[in-house]
Amino acid sequence: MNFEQNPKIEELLNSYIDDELSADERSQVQRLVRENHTIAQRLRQLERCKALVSSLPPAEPPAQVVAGIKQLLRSHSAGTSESKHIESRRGARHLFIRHVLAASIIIGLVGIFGAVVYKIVGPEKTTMPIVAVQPAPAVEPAVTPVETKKAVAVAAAENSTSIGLYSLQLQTADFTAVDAYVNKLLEESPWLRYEATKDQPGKSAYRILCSRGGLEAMMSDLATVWSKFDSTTLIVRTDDVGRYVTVESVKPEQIADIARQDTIDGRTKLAKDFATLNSVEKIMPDEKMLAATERPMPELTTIPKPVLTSGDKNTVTAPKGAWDQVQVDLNIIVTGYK
Amino acid sequence: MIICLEFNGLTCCGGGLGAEVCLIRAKRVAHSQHINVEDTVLVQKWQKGDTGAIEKLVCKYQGRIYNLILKICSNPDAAAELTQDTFVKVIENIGKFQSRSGFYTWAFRIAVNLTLNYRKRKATVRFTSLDAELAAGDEQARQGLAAILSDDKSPDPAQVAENKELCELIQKGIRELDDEHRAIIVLRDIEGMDYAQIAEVLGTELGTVKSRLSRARAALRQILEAL
Repeated sequence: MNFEQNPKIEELLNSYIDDELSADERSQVQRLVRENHTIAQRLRQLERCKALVSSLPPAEPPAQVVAGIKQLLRSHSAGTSESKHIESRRGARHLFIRHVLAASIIIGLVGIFGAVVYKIVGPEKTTMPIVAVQPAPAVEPAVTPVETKKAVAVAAAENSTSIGLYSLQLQTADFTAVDAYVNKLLEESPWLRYEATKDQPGKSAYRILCSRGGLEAMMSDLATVWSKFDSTTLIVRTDDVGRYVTVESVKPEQIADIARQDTIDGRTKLAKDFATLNSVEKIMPDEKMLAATERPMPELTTIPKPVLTSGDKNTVTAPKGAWDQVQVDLNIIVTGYK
Repeated sequence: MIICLEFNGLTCCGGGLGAEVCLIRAKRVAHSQHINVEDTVLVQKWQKGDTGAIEKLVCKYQGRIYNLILKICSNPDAAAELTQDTFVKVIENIGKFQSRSGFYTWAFRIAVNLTLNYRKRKATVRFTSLDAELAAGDEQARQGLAAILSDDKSPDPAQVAENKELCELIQKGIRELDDEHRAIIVLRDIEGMDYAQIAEVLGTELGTVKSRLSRARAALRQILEAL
C-alpha cells in the first residue's frame, strides 16, 4: 500500500499513536491493523519514529539564559515599583480631578435646584414690562417726498437746533379718514414743515419739523382723533447711537412732554417712565395711575380744531412758541390694516 | 474557612468540603480548556503585583521554552537570545493575557512565533550540509538508527537518551525538516502537546495539525532512513 497516496490512512494511524481518536475510531484502526499487514507495519514504523524523537533528552538552558531572565525579572520588579509610584501619583491627580468635577457638578446642581425653588416660591413673573432700550426698529423714514405743500426744505431746517424724537407709529382701522385728517392738519399748520410719503397703499409717512410749541399744538389736534388709533407707539432716540426707547400706547400729551425736555438724557428718562406707566395702565386699566414724572402733566395748547367734514379753510392762529428756534424732528407713520 | 475561587469566569465559594468541590470544579473546567490551574493562579497573583509569582512561572517554563526554541532553530546562541525575548514579551503582555487559554500555551505560542520569525529572517543562511555532517558522524550510531527503524521492537528511550551520537543523528534529521514540520514534531513528540494545544500554539485548525503532523513524520522517517 502506498501511504503517500492514502494520506487519510496515514493521518488516522498518526492520530492512533497520539491517542487522539475516539473509541470507535480506535476500534476501526485496530481492526485494520489486524487485517492488513502493511498497515500494521506502517503503524510500527510511525511508533518507532515517534519514540526516537520523544527519547531525545532535554537540553539544559545555559546559565546565561537563566541569569538573563533573572536580570530581566529584577529590572521588571524595579520598573514595576517605579510604575507603581507613577501610578499612585497619577491616581492622586485623577482623584483630584474627580473631586473638582464632582464639586462643579454639585455647584451646578445646587444652582439649578435654587433656580427651580426660586421659580416655585419666588414672586410670580410680573407682566410689568421692562422698558426696552431696543435697536432701531424697522421704520421707514420719509425719504422720498412725493407731496410737498410748503416751500420750506426740511433739510435746511435740520441745520438748526433739533430735537430728534425719531418716530411716532400710529395704526388705525379708519385709515382713509384719519390720514385725510392728518394731511389737512399739517396743511393748515404753517408753523409745521413736513414731507409726506405715500408710496404704499394704506400707509403714509410724514417727516415733520416744528417747534415744541408747534408739536404741542399738533398733538392737541391729534388728540381729537387719538381714539381712532388702535396702536400708538413712540420711538425715542437715546444717547447710544442705534438704541431707542419704545413707548407703547403713548398719549399726545406725553409726546409733547418728552419733546419739552431739553436734553437727550431727559427725553430718554421720561420716555422710559412713560413706557412703564403706560404698560402698568395697560395691565390695570381701571386704576388711576400717577404720572411717572413728579410734575403735573403739561397743559396742552388749545387751538381751533380742523373739522373733518368741512372743506372750508379755517383761519388758524399760531400757537404759543410756534416759531421757536428749537425744532422737533419727528416721523409720523400712519398705517391702516391690509 | 471559606475559600473563593475565581477561575476563568467561574466563581465558586465554599468552606471545608465546599472548597474542595470548588477546586475540583475549577480543575474540571481547566482540564476541558487545557488550562493549568496552578499557572492561572500564579498569573492572577502576578497581575495583582506579586513579583514572586512570575519568578515561579519563569523557573517552571524557562527550560521547556529554551528546549522548544533550540529544537526549532538549532542554534544554541539564538535559542538563548530568543528565550529571553520570549520572557520579555511575556512580561510586557501579561496584562493582556486572559485565562481563556493556558499560560504555557500562550507562552509557547510567543516562543514559536519568535523562533519561526527568526528562522525566516535567517533563511538565507544555509546550515552545514548534511553530507558533511554525515561524513563526520559516527558510523556505529548510524547503524544503530537503521536497526531501530527496521526492527519491530520499539526503541528504549533510556538507551536512546544515553547514546549521544544517536541523539545527534536524530537531531540532525529534525533539523533537515522544514520549519513548519519541525515545529509540529517538536510540539507533539518532544513537548507532548495534544492536537488542540498544537492548533492553539500554531494558530491553525485541528485538521491542519493532523495532516501536517502526518506529513512531518513521514518526512522525518525518510530523512532518518537516508542517514
